[in-house]
Amino acid sequence: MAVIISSRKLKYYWSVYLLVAIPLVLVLIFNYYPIVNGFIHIFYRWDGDMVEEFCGLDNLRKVMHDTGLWRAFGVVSIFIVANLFKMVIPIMAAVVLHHIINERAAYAYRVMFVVPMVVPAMVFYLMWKYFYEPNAGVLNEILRAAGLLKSTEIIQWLSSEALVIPSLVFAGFPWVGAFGVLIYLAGLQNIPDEIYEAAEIDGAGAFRIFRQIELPLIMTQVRINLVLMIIGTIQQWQNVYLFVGESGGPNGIASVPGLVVFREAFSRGYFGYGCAIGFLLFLVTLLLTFINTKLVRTKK
Amino acid sequence: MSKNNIDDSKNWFQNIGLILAGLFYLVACVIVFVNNSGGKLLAPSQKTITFAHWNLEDGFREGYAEAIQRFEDYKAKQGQKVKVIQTTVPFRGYPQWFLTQLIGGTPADVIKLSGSSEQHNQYFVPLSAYIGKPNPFNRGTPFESVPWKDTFLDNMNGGLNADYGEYYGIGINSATYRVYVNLDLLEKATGSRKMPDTLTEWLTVCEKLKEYGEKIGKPIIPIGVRGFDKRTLNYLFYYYFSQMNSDLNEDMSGNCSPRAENAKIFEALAGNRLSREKILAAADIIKQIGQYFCKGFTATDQEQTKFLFFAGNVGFFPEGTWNAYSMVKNSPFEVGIAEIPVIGDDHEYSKYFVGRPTEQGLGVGGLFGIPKASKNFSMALEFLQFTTSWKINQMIMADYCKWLPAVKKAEYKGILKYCQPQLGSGQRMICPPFYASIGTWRKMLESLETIIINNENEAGKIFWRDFIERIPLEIEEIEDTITATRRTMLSIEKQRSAIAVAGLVTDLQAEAEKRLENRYELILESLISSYRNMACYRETITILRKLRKKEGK
Amino acid sequence: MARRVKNRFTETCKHLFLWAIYICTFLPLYLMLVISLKDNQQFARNPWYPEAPFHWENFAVGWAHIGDKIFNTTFIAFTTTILAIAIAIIGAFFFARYKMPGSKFLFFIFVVLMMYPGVANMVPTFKLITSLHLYNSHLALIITGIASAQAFTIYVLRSFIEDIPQDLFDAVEIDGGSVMHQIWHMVIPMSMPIIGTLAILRIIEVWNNFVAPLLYLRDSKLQVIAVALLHLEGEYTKNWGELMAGYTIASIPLIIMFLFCMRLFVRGLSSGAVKG
Repeated sequence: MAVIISSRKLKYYWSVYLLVAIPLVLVLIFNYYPIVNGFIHIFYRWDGDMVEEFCGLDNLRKVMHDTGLWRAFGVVSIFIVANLFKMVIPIMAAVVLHHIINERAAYAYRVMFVVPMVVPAMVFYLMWKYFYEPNAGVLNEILRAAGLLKSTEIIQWLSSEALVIPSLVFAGFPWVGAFGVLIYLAGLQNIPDEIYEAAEIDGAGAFRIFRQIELPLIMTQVRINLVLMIIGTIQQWQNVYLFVGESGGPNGIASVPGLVVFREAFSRGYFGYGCAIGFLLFLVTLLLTFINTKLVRTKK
Repeated sequence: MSKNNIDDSKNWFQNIGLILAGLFYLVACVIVFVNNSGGKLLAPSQKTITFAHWNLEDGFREGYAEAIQRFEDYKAKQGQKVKVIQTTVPFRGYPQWFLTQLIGGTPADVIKLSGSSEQHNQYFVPLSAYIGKPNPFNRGTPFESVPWKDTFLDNMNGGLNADYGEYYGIGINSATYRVYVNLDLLEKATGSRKMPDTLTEWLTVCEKLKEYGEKIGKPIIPIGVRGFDKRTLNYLFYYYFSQMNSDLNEDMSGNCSPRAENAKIFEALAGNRLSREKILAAADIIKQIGQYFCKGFTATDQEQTKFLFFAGNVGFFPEGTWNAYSMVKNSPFEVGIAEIPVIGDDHEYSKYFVGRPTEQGLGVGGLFGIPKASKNFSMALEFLQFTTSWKINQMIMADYCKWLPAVKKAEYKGILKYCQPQLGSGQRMICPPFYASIGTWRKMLESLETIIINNENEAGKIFWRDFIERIPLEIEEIEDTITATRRTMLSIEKQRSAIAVAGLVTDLQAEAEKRLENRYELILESLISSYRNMACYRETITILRKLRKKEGK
Repeated sequence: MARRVKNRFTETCKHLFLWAIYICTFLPLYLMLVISLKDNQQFARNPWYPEAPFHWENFAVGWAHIGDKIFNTTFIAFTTTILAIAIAIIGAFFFARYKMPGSKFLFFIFVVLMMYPGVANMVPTFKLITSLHLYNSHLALIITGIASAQAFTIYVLRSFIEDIPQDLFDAVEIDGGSVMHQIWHMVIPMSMPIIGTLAILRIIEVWNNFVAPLLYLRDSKLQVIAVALLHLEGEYTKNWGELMAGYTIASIPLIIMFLFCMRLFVRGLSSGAVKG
């Protein structure tokens, strides 16, 4: 066990604190100082440079009135729900992969799952952006070849208000790029063989095995992934930026809160307002994580 | 046993991998180190300036590369080693890149202006002190002793930051609006290559194009548009409105900004000196033209329309002449460049026709400024002077990217003959009165789009109705503008009083004192014009309120 | 893991399912490779199948745009990862081996950060970097990368180090080993798998990050692959072949690196997953 040092022996062991000094200092300067600084600047009209004018609750009032921002939160909720569904395929893939009999095939499959993780995510996003291209893009061509689209018609995947959000949700199909699959797989591989044999003796079908043995055992990983996914999706704006640029699509309809922060602060110069939105995001994340842990605990 | 061997060889494989990765990393370190020092290790006596913009159009970068080469050679002959680096950032990411480097403190030395006037005032060197003297690179040309600012087509009016009364950027090109025509397609559809002169002719030809498309089963778009950012719609409405109403220019005093002066038009309207029909006829014309836009035009952007044009599926494409080179170069057929058709004699609205708006006195755009934080101000200024000198500016614009040069008395050869500013029979273009605030203007354009899509019979009436409904929001927006103007005025007032005090207490040489006086006058003028703008805006609000009451809402 | 083959049919279904997933996942990469060898005319005709003549010069153009950015990205990724893990190991060692007064509070400081949305910090961090005059330098990216990596890395490493048996530590202490000695000779070798995984994950994350370079770097000479791809995509007249060639070049380094470290990675993931 670790060495326990009480406060009495402290004067002999104080140098041990130096060990944690470097990471601590780095984190304090580059993470905590910005947090505090950002919070203070909510109350300032700040352009990032010389103009720093105290303006009280103006920024917060602006946040209340900004319908675009509230719509952005709505968009993010759509993404969260969509991402919930997107978690299903990796789980299914992991289970199926686990049950492959042929060992060499299983190994090959495992390796093939890592490739999409290694290729930069940007390349995938940009390729999907190309898929959605109205004239030269592949999606429209497939539809045309399948006869679903007349040769005179073009579907504007990313520039029409109705289609841009579904297009963003669907991009990256089948969503096995994250390392979820391999983690679930590793968890499944830890299930001892005896349990399987016992289940077979009991005459359980594949589905029951999944529901009662496998699913509960990978639940920890799923739960962790769920929390990470929620926190991640709330902040994520890079995918929207890549697909439709900083305006957030036609009439800004696909903007997410992160994109709004980026746009307001770094393109328009409203840094104080950006800080206010950021803080709001933090509160929302806190709330959701809290709800999530409460729900998950009751499930147990 | 064999498994161990495989393991060993795999380990060996892995170790080689790690060693290679390590070597690659070391190489990367060296390269990065050299880059980071800005090449100072290799060429210590060299001065480097950076030239940044977002113009990725054909020929622009190449033109400037040639100009840079000549500049560096010229400097070398003078014994100075100079290197100019041209940096381009795509248009979409430009505003953010622009702002972050200004805040970051190490901006490029010559940079294309973006952002608001406040940002220009805060970060850029005021150039008014330098534009009053002749451009040294104009020696040997007709403009040898002409002040730099007067060598431009508009005497640098386009570069004046009205809010602050100061010049922060030097423009490099001018542009007009034309229609690009696929002549081969025109011939196939109508049997003649003649481009339509009047609106009625245009609409007839468009109808023929539509029939042709249906006949051969290919998707032919009579008029391609830039729908996503509403630019084409904006310009067409502006243009046709001006054709019928440019005589209102006489009512304008020219003392306020065009947007602020909208009040005069409304005043005439409210006082019944002006018929509403005359103002709204433009909406109806746009509706008629809009029937020949492509389906789903509100989502089409410039790239897509150009793609379809090059593929031969578009008849007419109204766009700015900055695209002329790429339109002609990339089309495998002959492209005609024509002026947008006027209303002429044979249209239902001919009675309102005042004349084709004139393009004389066209503005110069594409402003490039020098940030205050630049460490090579004199070199940057020289570079700007060099690239806007009479010879070099024409070389870059006319020879390489086929844009209209910014300088006076330029030679318009080749494509530019069709793009050059024309003298029309009417007055200058006039801002439609619905333009008083940007938010309202967007809404009105959207209303036009809906009118087009639904092919409304009473286009003018519906347009007016949408406008009346929008008035309360418009009043809010104008009030916001007034607040912002007031804030700007306060900061300018501080500058004015600082200069006034400086003039009183310090003892300056004649030249510095003259500069100070010039600056003072410019600031005073801008204060006065801001004040007038605010008065105009307030008038607009009063009139808008009266209008709304009159319409019984 | 010997199980009897229950049913040919079910087995084939499983294989088919996985293949369906692979095809959808690899389709973008396949298209990328095919299109990268075409010029615009060939591309307009048919983007699906390779077509002679192959335009290898697309790769030359792609390299001109992306090539030197590879060195920048490698430098930033590797430096950040090495330093981040080195610093985090020391910190994790502290938390795992010593229970000092205030340990819990200090650990809490790190853990809380895992939950804070990075988006909210974009603005003030940018301001901090510019005040420190680190704008337009790689150092800005490296330092912020290290700082943001600490929370997660310390968290994972701590649980690993806690599992190392006490006797090993006692043995080294009896031999007179200082803290550094212990870390270097014992902790690191024993945690190799998890360190390998953490390193690779960190490298991939830095490689993919385009927000920080977008904000902090001005010169295109210093720029990173991710942002270079973004700019390449923003050109007016798109030459699709060259664009795809650029994408391919951007993907290759990581694939090569992965091929070498494959086993390390997969092994590390398995052991790490159990802990998580």
